[in-house]
Amino acid sequence: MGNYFVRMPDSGSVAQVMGLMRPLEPTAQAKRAGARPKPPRQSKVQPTLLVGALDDTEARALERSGARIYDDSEFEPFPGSSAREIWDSAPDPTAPAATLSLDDVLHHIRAPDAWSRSRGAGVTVAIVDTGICGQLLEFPAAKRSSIDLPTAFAGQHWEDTDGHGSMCATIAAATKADNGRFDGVAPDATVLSARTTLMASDVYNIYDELITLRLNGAIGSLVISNSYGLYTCEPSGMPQDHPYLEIVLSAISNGIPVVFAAGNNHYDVACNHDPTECSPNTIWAVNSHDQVISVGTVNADNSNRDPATPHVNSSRGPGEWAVSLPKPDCVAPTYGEVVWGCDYRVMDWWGTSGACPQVAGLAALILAINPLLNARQVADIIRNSCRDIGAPSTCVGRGLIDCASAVEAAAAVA
Amino acid sequence: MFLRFASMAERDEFIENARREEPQVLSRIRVSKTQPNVVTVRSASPSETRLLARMANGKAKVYEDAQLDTFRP
Repeated sequence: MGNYFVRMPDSGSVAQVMGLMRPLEPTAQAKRAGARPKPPRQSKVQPTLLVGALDDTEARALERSGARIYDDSEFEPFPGSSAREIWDSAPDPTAPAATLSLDDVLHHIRAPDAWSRSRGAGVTVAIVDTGICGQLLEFPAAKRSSIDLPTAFAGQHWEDTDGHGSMCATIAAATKADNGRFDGVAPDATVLSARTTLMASDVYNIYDELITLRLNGAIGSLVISNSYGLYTCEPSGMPQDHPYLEIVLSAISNGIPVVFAAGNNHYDVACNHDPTECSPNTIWAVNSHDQVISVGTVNADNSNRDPATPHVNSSRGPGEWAVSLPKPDCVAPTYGEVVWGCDYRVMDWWGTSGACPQVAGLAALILAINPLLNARQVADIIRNSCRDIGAPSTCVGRGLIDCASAVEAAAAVA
Repeated sequence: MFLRFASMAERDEFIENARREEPQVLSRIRVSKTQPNVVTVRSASPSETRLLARMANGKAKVYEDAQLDTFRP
């Protein structure tokens, strides 16, 4: 007998499973402190999530019937915080971090609410990154672009020895359709893996190929997701006539929305600025240009100024090269379980790397519903549909992305 | 590294010089399809960069490559 978290595949048999569950047994330490068994509980905000005691046979039987089972864990308070404060900051008091996942993040940004109107069909999302694991069920053959870019990793784009690119691709456009664990923001979009050495010259060549394919009609609507940039605390020194910027702007002028991660530079990953402040600027070079969409990240409480979570590293604006559209443009939440390489990993945050592909997926939802929009219009819709989360713009831009509102706005544009 | 030439003729002259004088670099040279006055050279060492910049004979603006990194968790 043990305490379990059970996520049911749907609400149909929730009552039956609740009837099966016994009271939660407190730990030995909690018993000594006077704690008594508590009745099984159904989450209020995630009604298919149940918490209670089961014997191992019952737990495995539920798993075989499609439920996801999580062992209970005993958490220690972080140094300097009380356990109460940590639970108060969680999105659901009954859900430990291990039970949160990309599914929860998608609900947080209202992606499922947008899917009745658009799931990204007909749009290709290019993931310029470390490659994508070819064994992931989230990317069945029919979902993969057949294009093999003749760049540094020609013939090896669907391999990922690092893990990062697979995470980004999953967040943008994974699908559960072929037994994958996760959907991404745009589950019906096509994914083009553009594995790169991350040298600017290789990225340049990838863009050059993508623009050519777009112009000759080999690719229709296209979005490019870029979760990389410069780790620096000083101005980048990159000249603004650099061909790398020129090719990115060329993509945008040819109708391709280009989305960049803002960076992870603000606090202890790089620059050690005050985690509660929204300055100084730490978004650099191409990632800070007016015409790209630059994305920061927040935690489950929509904050990147809480020193208890690593989201304080999200780079601050207004952006080295921004003139009229200060950065970041918007933020997206990152927390919980997600793909990493060919496997799954629970992480406190996914870096701004994990925020960027959410917006790339959203751009795909928008283009799927209105393919005539240009890159500037797509960016405007994303910015204008953000939810105000009450923080300075150099921390969160226009706010939290809202997929349902953005898709509705895209449908309304003639 | 990147080289941006003012004209296609100057670009072609550079590539011809590279073919003659540094043939081992040729396989790493790529002419842009969408910006044909731009040439990239993959994995150019600092000494190669200096050599190729000299070979361009002042007819190209030369840009250093940049190592980017993922904004990972």
